[in-house]
Amino acid sequence: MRSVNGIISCNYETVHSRELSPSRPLAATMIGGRYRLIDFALSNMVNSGVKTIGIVIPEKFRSILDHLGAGKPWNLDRKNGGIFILPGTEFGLFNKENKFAVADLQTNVEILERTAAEYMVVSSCNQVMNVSYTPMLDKMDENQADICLIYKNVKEIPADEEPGWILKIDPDGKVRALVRQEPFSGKELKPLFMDAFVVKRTLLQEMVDGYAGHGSLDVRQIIHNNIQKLNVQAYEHKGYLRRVSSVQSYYRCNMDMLNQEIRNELFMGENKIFTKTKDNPPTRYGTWGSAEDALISGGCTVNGQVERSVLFRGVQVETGAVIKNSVIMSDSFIGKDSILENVILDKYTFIDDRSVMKGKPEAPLLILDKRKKLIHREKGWG
Amino acid sequence: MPKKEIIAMLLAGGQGSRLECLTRNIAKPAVAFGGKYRIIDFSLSNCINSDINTVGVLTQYKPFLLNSYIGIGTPWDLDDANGGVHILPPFVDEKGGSWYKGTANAIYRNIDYIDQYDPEFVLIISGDHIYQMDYSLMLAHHKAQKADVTVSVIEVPLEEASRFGIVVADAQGKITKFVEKPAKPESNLVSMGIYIFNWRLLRKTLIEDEGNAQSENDFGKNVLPLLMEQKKKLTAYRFEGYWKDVGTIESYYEANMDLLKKQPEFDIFNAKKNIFTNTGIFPPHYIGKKGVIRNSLISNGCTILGEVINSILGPGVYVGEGTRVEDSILLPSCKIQQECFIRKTIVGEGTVVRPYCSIGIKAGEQPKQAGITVIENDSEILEDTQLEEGRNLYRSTVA
Repeated sequence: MRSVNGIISCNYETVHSRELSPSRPLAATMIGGRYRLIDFALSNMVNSGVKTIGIVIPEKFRSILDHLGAGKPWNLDRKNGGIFILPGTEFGLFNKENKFAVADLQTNVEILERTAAEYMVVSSCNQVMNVSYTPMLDKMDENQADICLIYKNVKEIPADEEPGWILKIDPDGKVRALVRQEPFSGKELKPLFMDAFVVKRTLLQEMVDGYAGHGSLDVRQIIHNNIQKLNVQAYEHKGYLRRVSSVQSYYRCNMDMLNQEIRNELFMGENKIFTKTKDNPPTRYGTWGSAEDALISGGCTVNGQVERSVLFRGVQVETGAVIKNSVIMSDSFIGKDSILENVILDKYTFIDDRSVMKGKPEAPLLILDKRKKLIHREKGWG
Repeated sequence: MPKKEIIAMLLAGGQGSRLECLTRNIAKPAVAFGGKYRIIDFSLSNCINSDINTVGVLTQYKPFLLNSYIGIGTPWDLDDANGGVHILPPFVDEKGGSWYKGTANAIYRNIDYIDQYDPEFVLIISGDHIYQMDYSLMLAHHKAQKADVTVSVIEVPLEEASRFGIVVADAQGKITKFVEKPAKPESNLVSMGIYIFNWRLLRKTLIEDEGNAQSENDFGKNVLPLLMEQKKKLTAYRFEGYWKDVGTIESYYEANMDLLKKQPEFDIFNAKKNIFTNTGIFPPHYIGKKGVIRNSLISNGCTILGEVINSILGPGVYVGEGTRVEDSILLPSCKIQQECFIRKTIVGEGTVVRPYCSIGIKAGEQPKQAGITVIENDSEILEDTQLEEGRNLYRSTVA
C-alpha cells in the first residue's frame, strides 16, 4: 500500500487577493454557492487516498479554523492521521506570493519527520479543480521519479490574474525548467503549473534542510534550480481549472459554475467536493419569486427575480428585487424593489429597499461592508 | 454507565402499511419529507434540542436504510460518548426470540438497555410524527405535577378525533379517562403518543403487562388503561403547535404541502431550533434559462430546466426541459426527463420518468386517495406513459 501525506499551503496572498477579501484569507473565500476555496484542495487530496494533511495557515485564520473544525466533513477526524494545523511564518513585505516558502516547512518540519510516508502531495489553496493525484503517484512509481508536477495547457493567463509558472517539458517527458510567467495571451499553448505536486518525502525534507538559511525561497524555485539533478515528471490535467486570485477571477469562477458541464465535472462525478454542512432548510420560492440560469444554495427565500447569479446559503430576496449577474454571499438581505447588477456582496450584508447598485461585467462592484451586519441584526434578519 | 435523569425510547419499528408503496422497502421513519429531511429527523432533532442525549431507536421492519441513515447519530450531534443513539432491533436470548409484539413489548424487551442508565424518567416517542417540541418543558410539567405518567395531548377537530387515543382530563389536567380510537369520541383532546413515565413504575407495569396473555402489549390499548385502573396519577400536558401524524398517503401529502403555505403553521424557516438531517453533499441547485419556479421548496443538487409549481423537491432531483411539475413531491434523486407533465404525484427516490409521460391526469369526480398518485422508489416509468390520478405504482407493475 502506498503511503502518502499531504500539505496544503494557505499562507500567501496573490497580487489582488487582498482586495477580494481583506478580512479573510484566500483559502476561506466563499465560492460556488456553498463552498470555500480550500474545499477543493482538501477534497482532491482526500479523494486520492491522503488521510494525513497538514494545513499551513496564515494570520487571520479564524475563518479557516471555523470552517475546518476537526475535519469531519472531509472524513479527516481520524485517530490515525487527520488534519494538522501548521502555523505559517511571517512572509514580510516582498514574499507574500511565495506559495511554498521554505520557512513555512521549516517551522513545521515535524509534519515531514514524524511519518514514514513515502510521498507528500503538496498543493496551494486557490485552484478550483477536481483532480485525483493517484495517476501522478502511479507516474512517480513507474518512472522512479523524484517529483511529479501537474499542469494544464493554457493559451493565456488573464491580465487580472496572478502570474504563474510555466514548465519546459522535454520530449522524453522530463521537466527541464520551471519559469515564472507574467500574464500573457497568445495562440500557443503553454503548460501552466497548477501549484500542486507530488514529491518524495525524504527529498522535500532534504530541500528544507539544505535551504535552511533561505527561508523566503519558494520550493518552486528550488525545484528549478536543481532540475538537472532531479527526475521531475509532469502530468497533464485536461479538465477545468480556475485560479482564483483577484476580484475578476473570483467573479468569473462563480459564473463558470452556471455552466452545466463545469458543474458536472466539479461536483457530480465520482469524486465529490466536500464542505461543511449547515443543515439549512430547502430554499423557498414565493409566488412572485423567479430564477433563471442561477445557482442557489439551501435556506434562501426567493421572492424577487434572480438571473445569471450565484446565491449562497440563507440569502433573502424580497419582492420586486432584481439580481442580475451577481454573487451574493451567505445570509444577505436584499430589500424590496432593489436592483443589483454585476455585484459581489459579502456575507450578512443588508441592502435596503429600493437600493440600486450596479457594477460592470469586467469590473464587478464589490461590497464588503461587514458593519452592515449590525443593521441586519437590529432588523431581526439574523 | 453514568446515571441519566431521562432517556428517550423512539419507536421506529412500524411498517406504515397505509403509506403503500412509499414504505414497501423502507421503514416509515426513513421516508423522505419536506425536501431534504426524513421523517425521523424531527424526533431526533427534538431530543437533542431538548438536551436528551441518550436515545434508543426501536427498529423492526426493513431497517436497512434507517440503520445506515442514523448511523451513530453524528448528524444530530448524538454521537456522544456519554449516551448517544442506539439502534435496538429484536434479538434472541437463551429463551429464544421473536419480533416485537407491540409498542410496550418493544420497551419490555429492552429493560436491560434502559437499566444501564438507571434513569428517573423515560420518554417514549415515535419516529413518524412531524412536529417540533421541547421535551424539557414536558418533563418540567411532569415533575411539577408529581405525576406518575404524563401524556402529551393536542386538540384536533372532533371529527378527526376517532383516529387517535382520546384523553379526558379534569381542570387540573389529571386524566380521568383514556380510550383508544373510539367510534364516538367524548373529547377532542388526543394523545400524541408521547409519554413520560417514572421508570420504576413503568418497569414494574411492563413486567405485569407481559404476564397477561390477553394483552396486546400496546401502550395506548393496555399499559395506560392498566395504570388508570391502578389509580396512578396520569396527567395531560397540552402541546400547542404544529403536530402531524403522517400515517397515510393523504396526511403525508398534506403535511408536506403545509410547508408551502404563505404563513406555514410549521415554519421550518423560522424554526427556533435547527432541524438536523443527514444529507449527502450536493452543490447548490441550478435553475436553467427556461426554468420557472413558483411557490416551491427546492433542495441542493437539483437541476431544474422546466417548470415547477407548488411542489417540493428533495436533493439531487432533475426536471428536464419542457416538463411541468405541479402540486407534487419529488423525493431525493428522482429524475423527470423532458416534456413530461407531473400533477399531484409523489415520485419515489431514484425513480426515473422517461420523456413525454403524463402522470396524475384528472379522472372523475372522486378519485382514489384524494387524487394523489404515488410512484415507488427506484422505478422506471417508460417513455410516453399516460397515468390517471390516484394510483399507487409499485415497481413490479411498471418495469
